[in-house]
Amino acid sequence: MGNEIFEKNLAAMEKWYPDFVKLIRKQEEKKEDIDDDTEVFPETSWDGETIFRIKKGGQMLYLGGKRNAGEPIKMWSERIGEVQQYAPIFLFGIGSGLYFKEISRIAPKEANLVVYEPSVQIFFTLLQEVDLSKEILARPVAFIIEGLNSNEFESVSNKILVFENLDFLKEEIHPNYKEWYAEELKQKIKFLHGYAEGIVVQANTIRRFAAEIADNVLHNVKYVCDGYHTKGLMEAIPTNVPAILVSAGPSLNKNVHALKDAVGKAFILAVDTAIKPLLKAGICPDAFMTIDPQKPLHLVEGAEYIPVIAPSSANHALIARQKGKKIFYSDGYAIAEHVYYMNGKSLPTVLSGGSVACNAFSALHKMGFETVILVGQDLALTGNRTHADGTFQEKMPESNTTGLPTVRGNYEDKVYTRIDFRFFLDWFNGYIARVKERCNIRVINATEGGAYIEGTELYTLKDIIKEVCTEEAEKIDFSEKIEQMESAFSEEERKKAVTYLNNFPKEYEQIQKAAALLHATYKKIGNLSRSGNIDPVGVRKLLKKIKKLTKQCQEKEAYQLIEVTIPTAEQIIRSEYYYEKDTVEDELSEIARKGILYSQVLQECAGLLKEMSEEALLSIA
Amino acid sequence: MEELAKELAGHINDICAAFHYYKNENVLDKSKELARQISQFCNYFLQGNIFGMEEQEYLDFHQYVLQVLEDYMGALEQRDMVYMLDTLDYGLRELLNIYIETEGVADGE
Repeated sequence: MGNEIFEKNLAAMEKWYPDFVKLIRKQEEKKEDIDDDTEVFPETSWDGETIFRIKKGGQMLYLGGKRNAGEPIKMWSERIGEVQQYAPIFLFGIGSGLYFKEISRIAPKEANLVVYEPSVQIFFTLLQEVDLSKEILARPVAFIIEGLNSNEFESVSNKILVFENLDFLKEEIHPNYKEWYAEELKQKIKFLHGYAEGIVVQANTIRRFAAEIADNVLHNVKYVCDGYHTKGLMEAIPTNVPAILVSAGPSLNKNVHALKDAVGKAFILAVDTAIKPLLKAGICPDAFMTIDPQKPLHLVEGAEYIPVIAPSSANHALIARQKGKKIFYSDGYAIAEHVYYMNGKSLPTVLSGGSVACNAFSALHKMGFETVILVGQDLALTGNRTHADGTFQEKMPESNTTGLPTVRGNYEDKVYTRIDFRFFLDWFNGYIARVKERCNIRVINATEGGAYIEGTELYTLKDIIKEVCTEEAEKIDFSEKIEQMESAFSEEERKKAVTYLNNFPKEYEQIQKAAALLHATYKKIGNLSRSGNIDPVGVRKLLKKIKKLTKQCQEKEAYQLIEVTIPTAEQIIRSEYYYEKDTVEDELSEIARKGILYSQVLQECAGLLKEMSEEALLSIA
Repeated sequence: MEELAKELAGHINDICAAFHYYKNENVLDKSKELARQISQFCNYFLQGNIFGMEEQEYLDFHQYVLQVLEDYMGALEQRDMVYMLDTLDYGLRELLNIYIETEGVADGE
């Protein structure tokens, strides 16, 4: 019987993920190699359900009620309530499949179901004892099983979670799983929460900077045409020396003077806010990085001749003021990427972690530095201050730490941090762990205070400089080498890019026209929904037209900046799309209402960006 | 016994509802606090055939009460939340209902 059910379940899985089935079969053949000491005993509950009792050491746990296994599932289902279309649902622990069957029953077929099972023994017993073929055939469920494919949890989460469906996220832990599998569950849930938080932070950042981003990208792209990028920088300077990343945390004031001994012996990259305290201490970094679309210029006073590394969305007024080299990396904006792409080249990327220091660390790693020293990377309120003196204020005031979370400190058991700092800290912890798996990188935390970053070695700045920047080491003139950097473009390639940019405003004109047509089509749908006589053929034609016009707009590279500029409207439209209405008339009326709103905003925004792009791009020669 | 039954039923409702509807997993500690009352309640049935049942019927009933007690102890011993919820909600509650339901019928009369 067990084998028959097992084969039936696997046959159902074949439809969606044949490779996973191969993996199961491979593991089934080598059962003795399974590293899971959970013993599973199937039973039948008094109400006739298959339940499991599991044993580990001297402890036994039920995964379903022995008298009544069905009723708790019904109550659980009531608590879960309505499951929206496209909702991401994470079940942590599958047990004997009762919760899984129920959620499969109540969730719309478009909902994304992920099952994480920390015990491969439970999973195998389930496949042998419980027929889940109906549920598996109905939708592509992502099964992530510890010991089989648990490394896929991150990529599956990445695919399923988007800003628009975060409100509908459901995560349920199977009763009794925390007793034995707390560590595995904690790890996965921590990742999930971190990822979801990242999506929200990113969306909020985009929303906050919406208008500035488009303006910055359009104005900065002319400098992108000059052809200086982070990979070029990597080729221009030696990367077999240490790199020092100077951030603006409060501890910077303690050891900033020690950096003098590293000048010319390590590549000193500062974040923008650290510039002023550095210059005040008589240290000129070899380059600085800025990413903030609204960075106040007074915070980087005096840095005009220092090379700047930036994405195209950085504050264009700051970039324009710089007299030193302007070195770019891609932050995903199509217009900047296309300047390279059209010439058969690519603009390098760095990983974004939400703060300029995260991006700078990623840039240094991607440039190939194998020793990276962090300074002023407090990620905590060292001395109850958020930043170093001489940054936002000459003397930074003390902050109220009441109610703030705490984390492990570098030199203290616990230090106060902020939610955003903790998010960056999690990013550093994760990123360093990942790069260390692949590369031989040494990360030194020479921050004299602050939060402990996993995977780093703690040193005082003085000691580590003494160790890695020896007196015998030859001094390198980084600024001279950067000044001699070669452009990625020949004169002809640059001209080609300029022509592309000069023509860019026309795309907004075309989008404006398409948006006007969209508006008229949505209006027709609204009239139809109120007519009481819905002609399905007519509706289909109109919807087809909408699809075509929308595609026309969205296919254009210029559309991306519209998306950035009107994220709130986009988000409303896209998230409300996930709600279903009761009748066809109601649905059509809702489609029309949102479509009219959207096409109006689209038209206005395309008009605005047309003007902005004309002002920024037509003068490039 | 009616009073004790009602009191216990109230506690069980709180524990089970908190778990099922509010994800409150403090089941075992809360259940442990009921040990004295549960023991008192079950022991009452084990004193003898107080309802004047047929012999076989009484033996089955006696066995049922023992099983509830055994399950309650087993759930505590194993630190098994699912086992405890099942025992309280679908084992002990059957015994409590003897009083609570009887009273309901009497009121209805």
